[in-house]
Amino acid sequence: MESTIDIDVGGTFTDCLVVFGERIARAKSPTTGYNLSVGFRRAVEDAAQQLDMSLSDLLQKTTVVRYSTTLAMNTLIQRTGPKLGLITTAGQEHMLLIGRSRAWADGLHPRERRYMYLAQKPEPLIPYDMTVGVRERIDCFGNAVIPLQKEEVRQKIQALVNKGARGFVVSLLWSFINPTHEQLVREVIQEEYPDRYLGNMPILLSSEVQPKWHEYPRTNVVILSGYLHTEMTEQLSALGEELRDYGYKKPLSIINNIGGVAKLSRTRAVDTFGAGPIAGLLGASWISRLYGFPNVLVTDMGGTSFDYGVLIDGSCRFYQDWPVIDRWATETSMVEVSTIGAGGGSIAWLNKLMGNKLEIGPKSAGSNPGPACYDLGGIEPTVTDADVVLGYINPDYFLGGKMQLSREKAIQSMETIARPLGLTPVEAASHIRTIVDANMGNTILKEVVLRGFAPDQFVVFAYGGAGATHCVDYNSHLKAPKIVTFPFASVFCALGGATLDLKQCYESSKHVCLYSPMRLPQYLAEYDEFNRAVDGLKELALRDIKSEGFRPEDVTLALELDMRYGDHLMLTRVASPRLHLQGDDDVNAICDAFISIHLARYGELAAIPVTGINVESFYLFASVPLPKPELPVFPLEGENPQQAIKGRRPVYWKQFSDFKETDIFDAELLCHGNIVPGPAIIEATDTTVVLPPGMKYSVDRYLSGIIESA
Amino acid sequence: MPIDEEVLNRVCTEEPTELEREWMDKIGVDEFSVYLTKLELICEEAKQNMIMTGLSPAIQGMDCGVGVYTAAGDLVAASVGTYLHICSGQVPIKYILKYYKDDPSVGIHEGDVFFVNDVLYGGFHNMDMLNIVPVFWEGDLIAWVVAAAHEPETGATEPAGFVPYARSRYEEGFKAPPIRVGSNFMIETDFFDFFSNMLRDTITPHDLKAKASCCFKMAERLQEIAEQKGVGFFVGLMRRSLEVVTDAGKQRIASLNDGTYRHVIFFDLQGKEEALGCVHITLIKKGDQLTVDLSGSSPPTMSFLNSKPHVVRGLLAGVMMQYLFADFPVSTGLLAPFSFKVPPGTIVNAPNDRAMSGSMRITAPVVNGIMVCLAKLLFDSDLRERVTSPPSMSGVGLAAGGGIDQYGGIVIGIIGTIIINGCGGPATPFRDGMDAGQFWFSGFADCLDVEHGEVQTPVLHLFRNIMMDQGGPGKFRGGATVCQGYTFHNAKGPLRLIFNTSTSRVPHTPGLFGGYAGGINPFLEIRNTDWQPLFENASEEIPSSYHELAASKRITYKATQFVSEDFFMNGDGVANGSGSSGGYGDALERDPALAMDDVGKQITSPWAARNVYHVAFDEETLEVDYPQTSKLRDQERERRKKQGKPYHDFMKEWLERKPKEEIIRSYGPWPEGIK
Repeated sequence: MESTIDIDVGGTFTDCLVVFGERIARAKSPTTGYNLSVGFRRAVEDAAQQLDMSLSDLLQKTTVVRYSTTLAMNTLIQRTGPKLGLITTAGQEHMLLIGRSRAWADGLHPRERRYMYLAQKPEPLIPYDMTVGVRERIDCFGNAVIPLQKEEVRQKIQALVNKGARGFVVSLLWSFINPTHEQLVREVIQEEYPDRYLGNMPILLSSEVQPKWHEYPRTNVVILSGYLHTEMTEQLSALGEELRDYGYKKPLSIINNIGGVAKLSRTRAVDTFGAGPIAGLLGASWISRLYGFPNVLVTDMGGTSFDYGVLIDGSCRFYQDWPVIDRWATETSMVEVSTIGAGGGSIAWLNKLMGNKLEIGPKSAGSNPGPACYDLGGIEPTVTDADVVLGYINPDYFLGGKMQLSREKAIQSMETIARPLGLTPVEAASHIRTIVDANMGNTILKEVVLRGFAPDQFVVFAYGGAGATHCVDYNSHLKAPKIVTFPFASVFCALGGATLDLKQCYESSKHVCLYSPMRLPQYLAEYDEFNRAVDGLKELALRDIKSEGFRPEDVTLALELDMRYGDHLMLTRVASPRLHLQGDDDVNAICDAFISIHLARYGELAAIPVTGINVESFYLFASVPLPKPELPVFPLEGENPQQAIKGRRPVYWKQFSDFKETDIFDAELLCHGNIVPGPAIIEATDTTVVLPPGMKYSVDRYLSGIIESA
Repeated sequence: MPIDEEVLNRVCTEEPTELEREWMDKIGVDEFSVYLTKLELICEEAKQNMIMTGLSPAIQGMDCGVGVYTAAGDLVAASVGTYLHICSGQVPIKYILKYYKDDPSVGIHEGDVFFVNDVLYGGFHNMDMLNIVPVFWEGDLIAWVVAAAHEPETGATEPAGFVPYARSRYEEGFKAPPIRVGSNFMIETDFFDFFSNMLRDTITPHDLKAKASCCFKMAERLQEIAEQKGVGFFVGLMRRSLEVVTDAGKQRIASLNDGTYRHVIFFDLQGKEEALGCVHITLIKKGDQLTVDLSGSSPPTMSFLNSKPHVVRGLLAGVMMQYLFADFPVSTGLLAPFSFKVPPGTIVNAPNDRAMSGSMRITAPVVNGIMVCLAKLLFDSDLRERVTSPPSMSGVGLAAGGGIDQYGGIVIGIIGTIIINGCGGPATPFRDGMDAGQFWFSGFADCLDVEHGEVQTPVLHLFRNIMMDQGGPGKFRGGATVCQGYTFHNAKGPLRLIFNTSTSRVPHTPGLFGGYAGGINPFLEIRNTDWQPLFENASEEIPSSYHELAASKRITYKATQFVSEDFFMNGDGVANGSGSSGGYGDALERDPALAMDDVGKQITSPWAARNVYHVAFDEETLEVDYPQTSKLRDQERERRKKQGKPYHDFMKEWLERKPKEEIIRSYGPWPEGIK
C-alpha cells in the first residue's frame, strides 16, 4: 500500500496530512523557525504513529511528499538572502529606490496608507551600492538603439564582485521584447566566472525569469528569485536528503502559488510565497467538485487573520490585480487569496475622538499574551473573549480541553468597552461579534461584486479555528444559501496540497491586436504572431513536463490572456477559449470571452470596443493530473442527533437578545444524516460551530456539516 | 448661469433634515461601525473600478478619487489617490441643488449624470473633471456619488490643459459649470460628440463614460443599504458620521495651544515672465477654531497662476486628511474648525475672468505656508509626530503637451513618465522625508514604469533617477525627487511641449525649524543634438543623470522655466525634475553617517556633504572623520554667530531692503501686499 504526505508549514503550526490507502492521519507540530525540517519531521512522525508505523516505514511507502513552505517569507523577514548585484540600464540605477514612487504603500492596508507622516519605503533587497548601470538601450519596438559594450559590462561586473556580490540579477529595459543585451551580459559574466571553476555565480535574467512589460515589478521578481534561491535550495535540498535517508525515493514536490505542485528543480523560489493558503483554496476547489458546488467563497478565520478566496465553476480563476510579495510589487500570476486582520485575537477598542466608535483590530493579541480569557496577562477584549462571554466557546473545552480559559477574565476585559458605552459586558461582546463578522462579510462582498458576481450564487466554505464559530454571521452579509464546515478544518491547507496537480505557468508579454474597427479586415487575419507566442511557451512547458517524467500526451494546456480595449491601460485576465487561432471564429471567441468578463466586472459604459481589442500577455498553464485522496465515506444514520448531545448551557442569541439554554453537541459523535436544529453549539476539538435559531446543521457522508436555513 | 460665491465658500455642513435628526441617534454602536466600514468598502470598490477602466494616464497614476455625499452635498466617505478631487465634489452638488433641482428644464432624476470642471463652480482647474450622480431610493434623493480624475485634455490653446501664458480664462478651453450630460444611466450621445469635438484626444471623452459607470456601481451599492436598512437608517448613518467627525475635528483643534502663527511664501514666475509675488499666511488658533487669513497677498497675475478661496480650502482639506486628521474618516466635517479670510483682488481670490488652469501652482505653495504654521502649532502638543515640513507640493516641473506619437496617432498629456508622482516627502522631527514617494496632493500615487511611459509617449529615456541635492538639507533632510531626461524617438510627427511651474529662483517648499527649502530644478531643453554617433558608439557622453546632462559639453541644451516656442522633433528632448520637500532642523545636527550614506546613494553630492553638512570624509571610501567633522561644525557655528545681530538692528536693515521695481512690478504694495 502506498501513501502520500502533505505538509503545510504555517506561522504557528506545521500541519501534516497522510493518506495511506483508505486511512487518513492528521498531525500538527509547532513550526520550528530555526530549522523548518525539525517541525516537518515531528509532524510526520506523529502521523506515522497514528498509522502504527515508524517514520522510516511510512516514508519508504510514500510516493509523493508535497510541501508548502514559509521559507520564502522567513528569508525575507530575516533578510538572510545572499548579497546580489543588480545590472540595469544606465540611468535607471535608482529604480529600486524610486520603486515607482508608491513602493511604500505596496502591501499596506488602505487605511494605513493615509498616515503620510509615517510613510517609509522598505530597504531594497539589493542596496544602491550593489547596483550598476550599463550603457545600452532597446526601444519599445525591440530595436537596439544603443549597443551594449562588453568591456563596460566587464568593468561593472568586476566592481560588483569587488563589493562582495555572490550572484547577479540582470534587468534591462525592454529585455522581454529583445533579450539580446541581457544575454550578452550573461556571456560576459560566464567568461569571467566560468561554470567549471569554483566561484561561478548564479545569473538571473529578467527576460527569462519574468519576460513581462514593466521593469519595476519584473526586476522585483528576478531579485526575489535570486534572493531566495540559495537559502531555499540549501534548506529544501537538505530536507530532500533527510527524506531520502529515511527511505523516501522520489523528489520532493513543492506547492506553488499558481495553484499546483512541481519538482524542486522546476520551482522558482518566488512561486512558493503564500502557497499554503492557496493550497487551501485549491483543496476547496477539489471538494467543491465532490459536492457539485460550482461557485464557492472559501473562508479561513484563524487567530490573527481572515483569509478568503473565490472559486468560480470549481476553479480559482482570479489572480491578484496588484500582487505584492512581502513589500514588493511583482505582477506575477499569484492565485488570489486575500487577507484582512480579523481573527479571534483581534482587539476591540473605542475610538474616543470618533464619539467612542467601537472598532475591531487591526491590532491582535496574538497567542502571547493572547485574549484575556487565556489568562496569560492579556487584558484587552478580543473577539475570542466575546465568543467566551456569549457562551459560544466552552472555557473547559478549548482545543478539546487542552487549554483552560477564564470566562471571568473575558467578562472583565469587556468592561473597558461596556462602561463608556453604558452597556453590559454581554451587550459589548455581542457588538464586537457583530462588527467583526460584518467587516469580514462586507470585505468578501466587495471582492465578489468587483469581479462581476452575486454572492447569493455561492456556497461558503468555512475553515480555520474560528471559521465555524463566525461563519453564519459573516454570511448574513453575503446571503449564500449554504455554508459547509469540515471535520478536517484545522489541516485544510495540507489537505489542499493533496489535491493538487502538477502545474506550471509560462508567461510572456506580447502585444497582438485582435480587433480594430479602424482597419480592414477588422479581426486579426494574420494568426502567426499569436500562435508563435503560444508555441514558444508550449515548447518550454513540454520540456519541463518531460523532465518531470511525464509524457507530452499527459499534459493539459490552458491558455490565459491579459487583454484590454485599445485605449485602456489596465489589463483583464481572460481564460482563452482557444489555444491557437485558425480562423475568424477563434478570434471572435476570444474577443467575446473578453467582452463578457469586462462587461460583468465594469459595466457597459466602461467598454470601448471602438478603440480595438488587444492581447498584451500570454500565460500558458501546463498541468498533469495527479492521484487525489479519497475522503472516507460514512454510512447513513438517522436524522436524530440525540446521541451527540453532551450537555446544555446558556448561550446568548441575538435573536432573543438574551441567553437561552442551548443544546451542546459533540462533533465527534455526530453521524452521517444527523440534522442538528438551531439554536445549538457543536464542539469539536479544533473548532466550535455556532448555529443560531432558524438554522440547521446537516451532517453529510464525509461528516462535514452543511449549514442552511431550517 | 450665476457664479455663486455663497455656494463656493460654504464651508459648513448643511443643517440636518428631520429624517436625519430622527434616525441619527437610533443607529446602534455596532451598526455605526459596520456601515461606516461598508461605505469605505463601497468607495474602495469604485476606485478600483475606475483605475481598471479609466484611460487617463493620471488615473493609472491614481490622480483620481471617488466619494459619497449626503443628499445635501456633504462628503461622508471616499477612496482616493488624490483627496483634492473628492473635496471638490460638494460645491457643484450644492450648486445643482440650488439652481437645477426645481428647474423643470433640468431637474434631478435617477440615472442622471452631471459633469463639472470649471473652477468658478467648484472645480480646481479644468483638467480635473468630475462626474456627479444622484442616488435615489423609492423616488427620493438620498445621496450623491462623485468620480473625479485629472484628464489630459481640455481643448485649450495648448494641448494638455496647462496654458501658463493665458491672460484670461477664455484661452483655457472647455469649462463646464455643473451640467447634465447623461440620463437614463447613459451618457447622452450628443453631449459625448460635442465634448469630443471640443478636444484633441479621445481619452478624455471616454473617461466620461468610465467614471459614469463607476458612479452607477456605487449608487447601486448605496441603494442596497437603503433597501436592507431603510432610508431613515441610511441618511441617519451619514448624518451621524458628519456630526461625529465634526466634533472629532473640533476636539483635536481644541486640544492645541491657542496662538497666531505666520508664514510668507514667495513665487517668481508669471507665465512667460519673471516677477516676484507673495502670499502672506496667518493662522489663528482660538478654542476649537482655526482661521486662515491670506491678507497681504499679491494681486492676481496675467498668467494661469490665479486661484480661488475654495481651491485653497479643498487642497488644505486634502492635506489635512493625510496628516492632522489621518485617523478620521474622510468627511466635510473635518473642515468645520476652519474659516478663511481671503481678500478679493488677490492672487488667491482673483477676478472671475482670470486664467486659472495653474490654480494648483499657486495654491500649493499657499498650503505649504499653512503647513508651516500648523507645524509650529503642533510642535508643543501630543501630536508632535505629525509635525512635518510641508510636502513637496510646489516647485514641480511638469512637461505636458501633445503631438503625433510613435504609432501615428495623437498623444496628449504628460510626456515621458509621470515624475510628478515621485516628489520627495516631508522631513519630520524623527526621520528624513521619503525619497521619490508621493504626488503633491496624494501619498499613494504611482509614477509608473519607464516602459509604461515609452509605450504611451514617443520618447527614449536617457535616465530616470533620483536628482541629487534636491531634498532640503536639515537634521533630517527633505525627500529627494525623481527626474527624467528623454529624447523624442520614433515620433511620426512634431510635438508641442509646455513647461509648467510656478517658481524659478525662490523656492516655496520651505524647510522647518532651521531646515533648508526643497530644491528648484530648471527644465533642460535639448535641441540640435546629433545623437546618432553617440548612440552607435554607446558613447560615455550619453548623459545618465540630470547633473551629467547639465555638465555636458557635447549635448546642446538650455536651462529654462518657460514655455518653449518651437515644436519638438525626434532627437530633441527634455530633462526635468519633480518637487522636493524641505528639511527639518539644522543641517549641522545631521548624523554625519546619514549624510555620507546619501553621498553613496548619489542623493547628496560630496560638495553638499562638505559645504552644507560640514562633514569631513575620505573621498575614496566615504568614511567620516568624526573629530574633524566636529571641528568643522564648530567653526561653522562660530561663523554664524559672527553674522548675528540684535533683532532691532536686523529689522532696521531688513526693512530698508527692497528689490528693484521691475522685479516687484506685480507684487502689490511693498512689502505688506493687499490687505
